Amino acid sequence: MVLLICYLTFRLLYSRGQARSDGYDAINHEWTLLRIKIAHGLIQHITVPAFGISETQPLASHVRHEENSGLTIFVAANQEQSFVRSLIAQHLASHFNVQNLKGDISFILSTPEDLLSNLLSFMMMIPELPKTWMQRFNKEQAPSHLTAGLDLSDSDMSQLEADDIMQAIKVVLQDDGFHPRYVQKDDEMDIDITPTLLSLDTAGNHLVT
Amino acid sequence: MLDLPSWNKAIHLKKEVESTVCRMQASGETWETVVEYVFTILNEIAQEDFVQNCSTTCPAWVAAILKLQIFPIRIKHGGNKLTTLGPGIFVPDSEYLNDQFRGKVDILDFGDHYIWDIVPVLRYSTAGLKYISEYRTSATVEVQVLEPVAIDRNTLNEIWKRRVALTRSWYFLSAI
Repeated sequence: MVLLICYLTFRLLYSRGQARSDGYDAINHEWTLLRIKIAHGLIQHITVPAFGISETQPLASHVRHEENSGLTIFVAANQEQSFVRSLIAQHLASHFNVQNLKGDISFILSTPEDLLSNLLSFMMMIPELPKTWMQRFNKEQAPSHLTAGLDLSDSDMSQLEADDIMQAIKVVLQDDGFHPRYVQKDDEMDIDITPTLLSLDTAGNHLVT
Repeated sequence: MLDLPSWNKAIHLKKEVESTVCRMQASGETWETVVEYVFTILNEIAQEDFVQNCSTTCPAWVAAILKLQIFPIRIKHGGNKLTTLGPGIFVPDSEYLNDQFRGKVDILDFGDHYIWDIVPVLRYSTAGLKYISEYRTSATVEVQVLEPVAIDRNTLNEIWKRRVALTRSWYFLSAI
């Protein structure tokens, strides 16, 4: 009888996720390493010499997954924001091997933060995560690349090269009719490209946020 | 009492398909009608247990049907015809590359029908078909990321804020 109770307790804990809590590190690691990058463009070259195929076509998004640097999703600039969310949902679903949840992920990405709890509990009827997971999630600090300036973590760029890139972004976006926002931080000039691009995509106008 | 012979797909289907396609062509049925008939037959076969269970072998009657001269192809130099499956025929099973191969090779062409439904049946053919999806490798497809590239901090922040909700949504469905 005692054995049966122990077994049932273990099954219950396992099904509720308590016994899987060590999986937290793996999933948190993935979230921490995730990068979304806006590229000026994404081009796909298709070459099959045997059949005389040599074509180039634009891509909306592209993923790279390297063992030590996690998942990086590249999104071509100047796309409708809802479409970008769908692309990201598709890549996340594929990466986490939950392809059937692509629609749910897209829905969650589109839902305002304050409505997420209602969405998950009452509309999608998804159980809560284990308490240990929630406690650990709540303690996590946002990774540095979310709070720092231009992300250069995956390159060997010098500050000079970084300045060149920032200048290039400014020039290219202005050439395209974009107006990047400038953020004054102490004595440095930093370009915060993203809010401007997103505003452009969402509203369809060249707004500066 | 009528003494009707019982119809058995394992015995009769191959002959029926062969004669029906011949009759349709002789009576001047449209290309689309013939293609639809062939697709319907292959789609029916796709519902068979051996396909659904991903069996490694197929029944002899299916193998025999896959050797018939009933498969619609679009010829690389233009036009279409019904032919037997062979190593020079490509299966357009790649959304990425189908367009690129069109006009360059002979391609199975089932019109608007969803070819992915019958690909599992075609896989039982021993004719050496080529699958376009197999050409999507790092050697044939190269993606170039055009500079400048900047981290999309805004979107990433939105995802970071939703990571708990996202994790929760698939936690119970996947082995994280």
